[in-house]
Amino acid sequence: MTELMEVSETASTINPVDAVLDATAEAFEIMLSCSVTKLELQAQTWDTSFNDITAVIALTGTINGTICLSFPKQTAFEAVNRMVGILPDEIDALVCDAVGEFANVVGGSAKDKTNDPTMKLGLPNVIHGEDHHIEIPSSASPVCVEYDSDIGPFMVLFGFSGA
Amino acid sequence: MNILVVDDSAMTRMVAKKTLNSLGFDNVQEGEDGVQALEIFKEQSIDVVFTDWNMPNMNGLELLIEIRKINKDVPIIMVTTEGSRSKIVEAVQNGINDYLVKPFTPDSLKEKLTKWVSVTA
Repeated sequence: MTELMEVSETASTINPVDAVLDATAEAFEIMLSCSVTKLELQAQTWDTSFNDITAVIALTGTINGTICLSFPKQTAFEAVNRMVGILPDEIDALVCDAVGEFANVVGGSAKDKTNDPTMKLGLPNVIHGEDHHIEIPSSASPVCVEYDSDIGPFMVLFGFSGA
Repeated sequence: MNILVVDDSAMTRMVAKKTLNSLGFDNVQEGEDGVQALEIFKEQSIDVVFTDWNMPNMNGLELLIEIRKINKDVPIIMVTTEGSRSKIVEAVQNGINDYLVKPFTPDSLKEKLTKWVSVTA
């Protein structure tokens, strides 16, 4: 048990915004062996234009948050290819699952980095289709980060209330 | 060696299975939630369990508790995004053997498996 406890003893606390940025870079590095570059970070509204496929995950607790990871389909296809060696040619169940799992990992990792024991992670939801929009009933003003990566561009839109 | 991988993400199960196969472990069973995994566990002789925590129907902690009612010894390793101290304590108190926080690398999965295979051998 002592050995297991050391895993969390080393955790330090960072603010939710940095937690999401760090968690995103880490997930790409570890899951895809892929480095990412932040292109632009700007204040945004939830009613924005997303890419072809988007995963949404909620964090609830003293601080409430929503994280959206949105991918052009070619980026999502290449992510699947890197993980399991299958290159999809359409957005199917496997692609949705992969994008959802990405949001799960980023959300979970961000939660741990904030070191807030009240925070709980929801299950991811995945939306796809051309020009889709997502209504997020949140009072938090979101931040949008555009990324480029070895497997293509993607976007992370997230906001926290109480932060 | 019969290994049970439990995760509601098909992608994660595929990645885990691919890694385990590459290490020479060909008998890998898959469960997409705790309910399905418990059925597999009761029907087959399972040597090691890797399970996610957050899953629909029956989560990984509930699965752990159910398996411990019928088997106190089988190594169970939680592979999850839940890496907080309180969660680890809860899992340890309910009989988890080891813990791997997502995202995981193939090497970290291999390390955990090697550790528990050598312990039980």
